[in-house]
Amino acid sequence: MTGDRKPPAINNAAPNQASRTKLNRRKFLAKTGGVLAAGAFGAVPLRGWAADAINIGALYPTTGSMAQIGTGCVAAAKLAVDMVNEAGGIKSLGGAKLNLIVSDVQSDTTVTRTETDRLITGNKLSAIHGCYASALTLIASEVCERAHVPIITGSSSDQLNKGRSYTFTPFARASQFAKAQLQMAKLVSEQAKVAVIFENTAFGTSTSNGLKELAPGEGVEIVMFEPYSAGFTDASPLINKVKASGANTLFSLSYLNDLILIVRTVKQVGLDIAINGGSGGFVMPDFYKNVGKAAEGLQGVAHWNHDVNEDAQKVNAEFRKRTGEFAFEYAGGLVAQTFMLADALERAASADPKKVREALSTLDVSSGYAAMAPGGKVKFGPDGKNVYGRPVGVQWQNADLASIFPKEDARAPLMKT
Amino acid sequence: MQTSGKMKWLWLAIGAVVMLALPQLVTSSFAIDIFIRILLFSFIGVAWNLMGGYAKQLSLGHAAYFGLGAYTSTIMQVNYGISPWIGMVAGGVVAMLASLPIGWLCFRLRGPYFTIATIATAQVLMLIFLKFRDFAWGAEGTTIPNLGSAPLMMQFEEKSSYYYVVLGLLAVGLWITHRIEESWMGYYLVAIGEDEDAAEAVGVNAPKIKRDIYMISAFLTALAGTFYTQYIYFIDPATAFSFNVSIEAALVSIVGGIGTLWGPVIGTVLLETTSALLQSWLGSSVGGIQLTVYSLILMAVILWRPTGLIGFASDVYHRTLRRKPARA
Amino acid sequence: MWETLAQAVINGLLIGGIYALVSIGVTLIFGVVKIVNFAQGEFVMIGMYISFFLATQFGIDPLVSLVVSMPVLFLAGVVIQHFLIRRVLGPNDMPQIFLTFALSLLLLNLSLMLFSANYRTVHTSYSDSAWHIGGLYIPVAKLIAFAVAMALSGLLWVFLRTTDLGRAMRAASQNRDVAMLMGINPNRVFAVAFGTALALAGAAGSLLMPFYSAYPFVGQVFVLMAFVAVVMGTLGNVMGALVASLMMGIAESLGIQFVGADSGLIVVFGLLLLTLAFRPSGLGARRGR
Repeated sequence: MTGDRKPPAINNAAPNQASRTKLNRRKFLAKTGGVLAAGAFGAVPLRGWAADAINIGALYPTTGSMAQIGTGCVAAAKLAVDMVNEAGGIKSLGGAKLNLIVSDVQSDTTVTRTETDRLITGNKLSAIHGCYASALTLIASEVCERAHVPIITGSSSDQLNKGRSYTFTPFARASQFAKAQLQMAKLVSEQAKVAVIFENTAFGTSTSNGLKELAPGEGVEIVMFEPYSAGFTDASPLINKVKASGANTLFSLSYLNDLILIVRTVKQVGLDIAINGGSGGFVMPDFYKNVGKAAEGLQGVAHWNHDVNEDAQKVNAEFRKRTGEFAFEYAGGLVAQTFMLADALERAASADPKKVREALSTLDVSSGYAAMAPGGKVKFGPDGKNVYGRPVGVQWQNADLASIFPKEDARAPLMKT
Repeated sequence: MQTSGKMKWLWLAIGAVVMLALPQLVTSSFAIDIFIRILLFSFIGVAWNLMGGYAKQLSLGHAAYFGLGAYTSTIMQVNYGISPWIGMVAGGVVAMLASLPIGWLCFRLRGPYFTIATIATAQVLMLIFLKFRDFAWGAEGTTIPNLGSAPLMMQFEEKSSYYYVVLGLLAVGLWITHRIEESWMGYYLVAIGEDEDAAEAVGVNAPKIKRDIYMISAFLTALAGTFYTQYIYFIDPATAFSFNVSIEAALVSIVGGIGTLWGPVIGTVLLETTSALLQSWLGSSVGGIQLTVYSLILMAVILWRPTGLIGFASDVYHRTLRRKPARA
Repeated sequence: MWETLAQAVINGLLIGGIYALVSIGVTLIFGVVKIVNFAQGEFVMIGMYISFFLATQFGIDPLVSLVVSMPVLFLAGVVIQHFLIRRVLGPNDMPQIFLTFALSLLLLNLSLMLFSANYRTVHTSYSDSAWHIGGLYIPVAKLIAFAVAMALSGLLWVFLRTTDLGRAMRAASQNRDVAMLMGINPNRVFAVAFGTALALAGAAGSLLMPFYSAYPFVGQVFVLMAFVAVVMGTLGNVMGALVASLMMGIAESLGIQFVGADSGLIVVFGLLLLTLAFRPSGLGARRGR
């Protein structure tokens, strides 16, 4: 697909470090046949150890409107593979190294379909991870399902757990995020009157549905429930509405750019309201950089945070060394996912994707990098969902993101604002 | 092209055999995927070309029909279990009907006004599908149920089957275009495209002709929408009503040569191949580089051949094969 | 209730000023050069990056960097007109539109390569401050942006009315053939028009920088609204674009306030289609044609 990229501006941020690495490892065979240079599509790894290496596909948008998080994911994926390889690779396969094959899905659905296919058919893949954005992941996972290649993803859409057997989601689901947010609202005020504003995308609507369903049970009153068009020029009309609703807590389910504007506008208006920025853009280093001190004390939720345990802190330190930023949720999650794949490969003692799927479905870890997630354990249910998966409540404290909720995952006390 | 009758049939027959045999000769399923993309966007380009090329009405809102077709068949399939084959035709009819009010509004407008109004209609449809969430899954969209091999439900395990479906669609589109080219309607269309007022002055019923061709164009575009959804297994408003689809439909025709039978096909072959190759070469290096190169190539082609490549292709053909001047 | 309404109007008006700078550029190019410039939003983006780098590297206030971004983009406009646009001018408008489209794609991806997809914000002393009057508030940065935008529009208006070059541009936009017969050098006029339009886009970028983040795709957020305003205000009509931009800003704000936060654009597009249904050449068209 060509053309200009105008998906609804889903705005995420990611560390600067793009995939500025060596050239692609592909060689283009010049075959004849067809109206096109058809043979040019056969992608073959060129490395000397290519025969033994285990190919892992990585599908992330590094161009287009979703590029920020996508580039951060690629940096994390490379770090993860290096970590596995430096630790000796897959021992049951004679110390075989992981070979990461990255592809840019350009924030575009057609490209995602094509690239997933290209990676699977052009390379002998053992597994894939990607694409972080729900809509893209849904497509990639459908392709993987039919090609019988396992895909492991940090995307939170609950739709990914319906009727699939090759999709694995090791982290909290959108519906779980909603529950955590509601419980966190009560940390601030016993009588939370919540205004929910959510961007009109898969990410926003799926989480907001959960909020609406669970609010009565959690004893939280929702006084405003409003979808908005993602990628706006001005947050003032929306905040004007929030002000009129009389809410004392604001849940904003937004990606980065909208959220930056929302928080800055709340400050301009002088509205006294507790903000929970959800996941997505809120937990990115870029959020703090753009909002500055106004971010202090704001709460959010994440599927991973860099202070959950010691392993996570090690990963964070390494990621910071490489990119200059702390490891955000998708980055850290990706390292954990790669180690889950390594664990499965180790037990499968085979690079065959079907066997890797088998091994993933019986994965059961409670220590090491594979288990560094809120909850500390990973075991997949029949729907590919981690039965121990749960989100972690976070708060911006001194320019860093601290885990504060629930109690067992809290690494810092709640900062009162 | 002024090929003699017999030669034309010969070339067509050779072309058909090559196209039919292609999936058997090429084993790489990724290559077939690229062929499918080329055929699909050729088909969308052919549908657009009827309106934009022959009648020179620069629509950048064909995503409206693409999306309506896609949603009609998907709603029928997911909610009522009706085969997408039926849904495809139903989607075409829905798009045809929708083209009437949209056309009524837009055809009152000329030039850029028309273009911007068409963009707005597609955008409004997307916003409506986003806003009314109970109606068709809202922003979350839905995936197509995985039925394994179910040809009657337009699901195939073999990629080549998808190839043949879209090849068939393109053949239908080209055949319709060819028939229109040779009919009075074709002449009227070209007359409207040259100078609408003059055409009306000599008795061409321009509003009716434009309405009819718009309906055909919308119908065909909607068929592509159904195929696309079935092929990528997913639908949401941003994908179905994507501005990219509208742009791509026009772009391939303009690069290939508007108002010509094969223009959209030539344009798509060039653009999709370029984009696929750039993606394989550069897709895993610095973000944005492949689209930077792509846009440079695009600019070069437009500057070099503002009227499309088909004139160039025909020049080369005549120079090399026929050894006679291409133009009188 | 009245307070909410008044605030919604203020919000809409202020952002409408930014829309105006973008749409006046589009309408100026269309009026004089007769092409629709799809890349206009990308020049806003470039203006933002210029201001961002001047602010972070040299500590120059984004509003002051206007004096850099405007001339730089003016020159860019002259160059682009001379080397690209001029070569596709002619009766067929399709290559022109797609040339500007390709240009937009190029600038987007070049900036992605050069600056990465990260968001860039400049914090100034007035960035997040606002004047509170009764229950209403007026953000300072947006008010300044609005005022400068209106001043620049006024200057342009005066330029078009009182200078020879301005009159030549107006003549070219009304009837190009006659203008050429009168001895106006079209290439020079076109280059100035294109340059001026881009300078306005650059100004919009600099004015946005104190309260908006720069990123490669930022232009696309603004350009859609600008196109709507340009069509509503009649293509080529500078005053029409200005008035329509302010109207669209207010309509969007009221739509969000009273119809739904996901409906601002539906209201805007609805108004556009409604206008076109009754006034096919927009609101700024002279009656009788």
